[in-house]
Amino acid sequence: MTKLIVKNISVVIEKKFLIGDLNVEFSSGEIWGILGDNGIGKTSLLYALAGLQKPQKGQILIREDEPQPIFEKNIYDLTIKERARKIGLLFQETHFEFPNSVFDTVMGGRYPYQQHWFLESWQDIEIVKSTLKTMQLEKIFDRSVTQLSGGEKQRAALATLLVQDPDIFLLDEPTNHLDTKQRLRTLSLFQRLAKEHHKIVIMVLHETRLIRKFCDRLLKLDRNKGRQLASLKKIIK
Amino acid sequence: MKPKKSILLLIILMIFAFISILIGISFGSVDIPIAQLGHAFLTCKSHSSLMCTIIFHLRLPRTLCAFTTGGLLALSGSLMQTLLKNPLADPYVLGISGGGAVASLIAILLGLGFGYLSFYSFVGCFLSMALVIAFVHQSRANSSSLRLLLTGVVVATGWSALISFILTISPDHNLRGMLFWLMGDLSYAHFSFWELGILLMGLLASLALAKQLNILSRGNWVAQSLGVNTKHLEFILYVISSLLTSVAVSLAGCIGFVGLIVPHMLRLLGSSDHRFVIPGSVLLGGALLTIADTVARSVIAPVQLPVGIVTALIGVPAFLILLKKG
Repeated sequence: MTKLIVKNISVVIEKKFLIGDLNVEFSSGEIWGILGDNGIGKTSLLYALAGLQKPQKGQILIREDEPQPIFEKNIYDLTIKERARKIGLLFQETHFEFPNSVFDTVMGGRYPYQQHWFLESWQDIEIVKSTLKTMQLEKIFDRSVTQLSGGEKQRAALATLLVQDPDIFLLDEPTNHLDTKQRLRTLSLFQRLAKEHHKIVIMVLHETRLIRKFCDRLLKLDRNKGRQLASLKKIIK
Repeated sequence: MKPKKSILLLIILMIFAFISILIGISFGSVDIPIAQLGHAFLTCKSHSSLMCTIIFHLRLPRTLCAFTTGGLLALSGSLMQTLLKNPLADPYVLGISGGGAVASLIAILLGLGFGYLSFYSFVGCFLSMALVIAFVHQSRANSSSLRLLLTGVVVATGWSALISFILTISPDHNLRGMLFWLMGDLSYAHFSFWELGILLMGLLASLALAKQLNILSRGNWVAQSLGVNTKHLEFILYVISSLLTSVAVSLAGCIGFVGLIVPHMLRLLGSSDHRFVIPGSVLLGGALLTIADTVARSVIAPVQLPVGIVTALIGVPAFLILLKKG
């Protein structure tokens, strides 16, 4: 059982409180939806949880009680590589500046596990191959990522995250650029990861319909007189 | 790209590099047929002749010098492009060469001697690099690429103003030497093995970082979330690419274009995987500059053109054609 424990964090960017004194506990098997207006701090919260932007106040702890002994650490005390094995983030937008192939790009997700300084192992190649199939990218594995459509780029980014195989998946609008069929496929994939593989899935989504269908818990961000309020809810199906 | 294809391409590039060196030794104001080169290599140990002097004291050092400079520039260019996440970056974009140019021009102006010119320009490059680091150092972690680029471009502009100033106040008899230096010229270059050594060390160091560079090219945030320590990596990358540029500039002045287009040619040929682009840059950059230098010193021999002109004249159309096909 993995837990991500957020204790009293505040994120201030340019003197504006984007996140104020937030307390929340995420546990494995749970799928969280984050809802809130534009600019309220949803992405900043994900960056803080991903270990990319250290909150000015408070702590974010990761606790694992399996395997024994209990492991508990502030995520900002982990090495960058260790953190990448535990926490993965799907960014809101995916840009590619250089023409790498889809295969090579997705292989980047295996980096936190790789031992060899130059080569990739056969296992890594197999993992990437099967994930490309899952994301229906196997036919364009050799194409340059700069030539992909928006939906294909999003799927390449999702595939990178899947081969990264973290315990905690942070998804910033995972349905961006995807068509209806792909949206449902992708979200049910993460649902399976949470329910069958005991991952924590935390995602920013704008469609309340999809949140109601796929999430068990909701974190709603609101602002009142400049102060930020967060409300936590259990979604009853 | 499949590994087999990149290995094949690298072997072809190796053969191309070897041929370019043979061409460099063979052509010039006195042509030595390639067929005779093997014979010369075998006999020159025992008895010397005019041909041996030409080969071993003039052509070979010059050719190796051109190859090393080309390799340094192309490698530095490919690292710069990844560091700045900008395909338009070249080894000079951050003003490193500007510092070297100002230092060399001052040395020429004050008559401090051509023999030490490469030393002065290296010192100038190094100062410029330190200046940029000092300004960027305080910046926050993730805006650093843009900040580095802006700082470097502004510093470069400052240097170029100083260069114009020095050119304006210099007496006429110095101007020719200065202009040649600014356009990039190998005729005063002295080859020594430490330059080749720096190139090899730079090559090995960047190969060791190649996998991280592949990830860094996707942007700092993505790279960090995939487990790359971008702050350290960018600093190392900046130091390596600056050193490579400094050595190249101190050898031959500001030879344009090689550092910009060679990495692109390789990306168009095969892939952006740094494990291919890094060794490929050294081979292709070295080969192209060797050929350009051969053209520069033989096309209107005995007059020598600055090689920088030739790289641009050959490079621009070649690149445009490649770009259209790719």
